[in-house]
Amino acid sequence: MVYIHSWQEYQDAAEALYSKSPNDARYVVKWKASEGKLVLKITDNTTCIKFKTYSSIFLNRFEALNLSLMQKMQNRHREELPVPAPD
Amino acid sequence: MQLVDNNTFLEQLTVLFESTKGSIWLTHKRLTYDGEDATMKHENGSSEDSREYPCLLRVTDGEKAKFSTHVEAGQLDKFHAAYGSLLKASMTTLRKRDKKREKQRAEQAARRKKKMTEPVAVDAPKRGNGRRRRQRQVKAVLKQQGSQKKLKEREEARIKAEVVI
Repeated sequence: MVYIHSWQEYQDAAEALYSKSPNDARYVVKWKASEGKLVLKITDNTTCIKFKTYSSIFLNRFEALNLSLMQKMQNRHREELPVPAPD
Repeated sequence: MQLVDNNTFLEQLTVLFESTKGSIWLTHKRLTYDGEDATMKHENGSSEDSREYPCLLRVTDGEKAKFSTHVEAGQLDKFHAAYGSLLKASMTTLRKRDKKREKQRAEQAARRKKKMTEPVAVDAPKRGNGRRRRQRQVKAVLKQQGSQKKLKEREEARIKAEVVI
């Protein structure tokens, strides 16, 4: 299990890993209240990357990463579907 | 494992965060299981990727609580607004980065760097009164050389890894 120390690196690696295997990858968040520790793990059962922190400055970035990963999971197409031509 | 709808999920998650005893695990994954035996997944890397999937979220506290929810594609924005603010509001015990620790860390790093780059002078006498001092200086020079070599190897490995990726 690899801990990554820089947030930017972790974010890039997480998105790359998810794009590589969207059906196998899972994103796990562990919150340890007694210690005030937040650990993020993303794995596709072959490679695993983790990020841990005790500081609150990452919260906004963490939420943005959550959103982007969940959007990838849903694979939502943002463009409007073409309207069928009326006959 | 209880499957609940999104709002109940958020409520139960709020309760879990408030109990603050132990840990909380949140798992997010794409939902490719279609109920019975037919799984709607396709091979990773196939170009036909136009399906939309619901998102599966599971929560556990390691002991008794275990529940999950499906988030449909259309509901993600609304759900995430509530979900994100819930997470941000509950994780308040994370330390706000204080200047003191940052300064300490920066000073330690600067000190370490100095020790590695400044040349160690071996100027004590070889025999007689200051011999021990000279031996310590020679040992420091060797240690510095070792650490510089390790640093170089690490840099090379990193460059090589970057080239591969």
